[in-house]
Amino acid sequence: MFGRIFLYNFKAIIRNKYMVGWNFLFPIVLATVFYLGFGNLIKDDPDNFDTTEVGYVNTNQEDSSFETVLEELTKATDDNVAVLSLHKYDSKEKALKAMTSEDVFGFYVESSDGIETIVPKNGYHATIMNQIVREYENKKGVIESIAADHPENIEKAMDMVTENLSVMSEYDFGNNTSPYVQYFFALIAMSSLFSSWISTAILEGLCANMTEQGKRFECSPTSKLMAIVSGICSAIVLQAISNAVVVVYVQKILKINLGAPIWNIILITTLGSALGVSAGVLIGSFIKNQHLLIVVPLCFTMICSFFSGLMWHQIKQYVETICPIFNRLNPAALLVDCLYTRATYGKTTMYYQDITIMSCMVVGCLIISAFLLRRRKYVSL
Amino acid sequence: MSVFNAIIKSLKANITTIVVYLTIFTVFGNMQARATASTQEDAFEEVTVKVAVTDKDNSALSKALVNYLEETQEVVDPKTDDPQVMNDNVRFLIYEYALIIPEGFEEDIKAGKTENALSYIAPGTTLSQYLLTEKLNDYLEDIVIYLNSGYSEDEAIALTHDQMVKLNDTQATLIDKSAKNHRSFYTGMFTFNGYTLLMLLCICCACTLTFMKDRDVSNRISVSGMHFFTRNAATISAVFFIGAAITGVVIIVIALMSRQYANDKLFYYALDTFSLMFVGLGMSYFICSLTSNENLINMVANMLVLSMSFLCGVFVDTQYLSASIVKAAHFMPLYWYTTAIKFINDTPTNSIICKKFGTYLFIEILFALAFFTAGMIISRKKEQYAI
Repeated sequence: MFGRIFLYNFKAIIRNKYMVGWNFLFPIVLATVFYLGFGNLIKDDPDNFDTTEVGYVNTNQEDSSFETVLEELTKATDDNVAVLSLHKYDSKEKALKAMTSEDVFGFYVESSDGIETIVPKNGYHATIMNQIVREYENKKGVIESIAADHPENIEKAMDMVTENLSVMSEYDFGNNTSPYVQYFFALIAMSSLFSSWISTAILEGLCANMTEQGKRFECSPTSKLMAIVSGICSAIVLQAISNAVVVVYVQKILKINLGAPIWNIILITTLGSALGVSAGVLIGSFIKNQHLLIVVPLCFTMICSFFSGLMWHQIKQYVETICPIFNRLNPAALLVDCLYTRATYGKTTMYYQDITIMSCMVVGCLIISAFLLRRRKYVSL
Repeated sequence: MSVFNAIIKSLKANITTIVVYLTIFTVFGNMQARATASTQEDAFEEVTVKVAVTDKDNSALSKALVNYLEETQEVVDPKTDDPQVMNDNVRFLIYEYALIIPEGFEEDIKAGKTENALSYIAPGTTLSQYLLTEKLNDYLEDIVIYLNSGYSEDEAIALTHDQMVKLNDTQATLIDKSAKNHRSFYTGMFTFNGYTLLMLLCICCACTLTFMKDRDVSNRISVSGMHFFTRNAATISAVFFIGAAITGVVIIVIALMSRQYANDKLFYYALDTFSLMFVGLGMSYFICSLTSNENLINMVANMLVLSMSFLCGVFVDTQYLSASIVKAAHFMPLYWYTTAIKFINDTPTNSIICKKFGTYLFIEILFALAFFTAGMIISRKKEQYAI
């Protein structure tokens, strides 16, 4: 009997165009759109450091140590790209023309009065160009001070200036996934929570006061518990398949590296599907109005997805700094965090904590729903 | 008039949709526009980096370093000791850089162990990371050089500080003459409007037209004795009225919100928005020719408008999209809307009315006509084959 009801529920969901559209098609369309929109940003983040095209005009007619510094900065190292790409001009007018036509971002003019930095707008590139001049003048100032106070150490100081000390070291966290991948995690979370519609539709199909199917079900000698359990199972299986399709599509067809083994991601999203379905069962057991059975899961899914970073990838971290408990209660944020932690740091305590909370939520929702649905008969609707 | 009134009343069913999208537009459009708005400037201004500092050393040198950062950058509380959480905060731009001064930092510097004396967390190799790492390296290099050249620690700190203060006089010359380098508040708001206005028009007008398709409603209108021309004119004018009213409200909302950033280009932005209104009406007619189911209308409108918004520069600027995607976007109406907005932004007010601007608006109208035509063909075929 379980298998038969499971199969019928399965068929009923598949034949519902509206559900197939939202649960299967919409995530794939959105993933494609995200790929077309953010694909370039994932591969080449616009915030990444890139070489600045700069012009240089020397009106002094003699070799300049500043020019040597600039030329040093045009050399790429093993770890980093070159800081500058240098274009030399005969006159300030020619350099200005190049800046206007965007051949160079800005330019330096070295004359007997000193070094002038000319930029078209404020921003990081302008500040970096100015910083290069400051560093140059700073080192000149240091040498002058030492020459005046401790001339015996001038040679040692000169050596240290040219030596380039490496005082700073960067923390390495291993797998550095792009922050834009967060959008795909949030998309998978949204897709998982969409399954709450499937469960509300299944519960609707069991209510004689809502659907024709419900009337037929009430007349049949079928156990209600078995019908609900088989319905939940079919919803989880369907949503898990839908999520797996999205994950495979993103990782294999769109070639976006989600940062973790595919089987692991599918297992996490299956747990997410169970979470969405159980949340839907809980909503369905609370609400008896047919119109609200669509509106409430939709609002629940979209609000949770928004706070997990579907529309704005920073929001989850903002919530984490202001009210972390909200992220522990938001099912979409939990799923996103679980996927993000697995992809970025591996199987850490946070990863297991997310899985435990999600599992507890699934069990909690189903237990509360069981209490609410217990002894609900046609006469008491 | 009764048909016109009935259609306007049917809009009541979509009041939640209108409120939701207007709220999204007001909140997110405003946030995005404020974040990206900039105006032409006269003087050079250094970029400051939002840096979170964890000082585990609490020595004279570490305090001097923190003091230097406080004077030149925006120093914030890291709110955690966990490097992993700091990394998340940096990656999601709660702050841009996290500096950790380890215990024994001062002793290490004095002992000449300068290699990797400080550690930092940054979101990869970014401009902010490069800039601040350079500044910190420069500062500490000075300290180390002074210490190794016979100065005491206090002298080295004082000299380096004076040197850094003196360097503040080294300023770049700003020649900021091109409007292309800046994005006005209007541009931000009207660009985001491309998504919300199209969604509003597609859903509201498609649902209204669907209401007229309802067999019961159309039968009652048919037997009313109203002339065929009158009832169709009433339907068309009601749909146009809804479109114009929604567009008008959106423009008024933008005008009210942008009072502090206002410029004299609002009229041209409004002109472009009214052209987009025709596209929205055309799309709604096309969508309602495909289906009469409100859920499916919602889904199709979402898929079409969201896709276009991502590909045509509404959510992600076209400069970050690949060349092939931008080429494909030429076949979508929203691309011409955003291109016209960029043109208005970059062009002086007295030169906006020109052939180029007219072409952008004309292409939008052509797209609207194409959608109408496609919708009419589908409706006719459906009627022909009784689908």
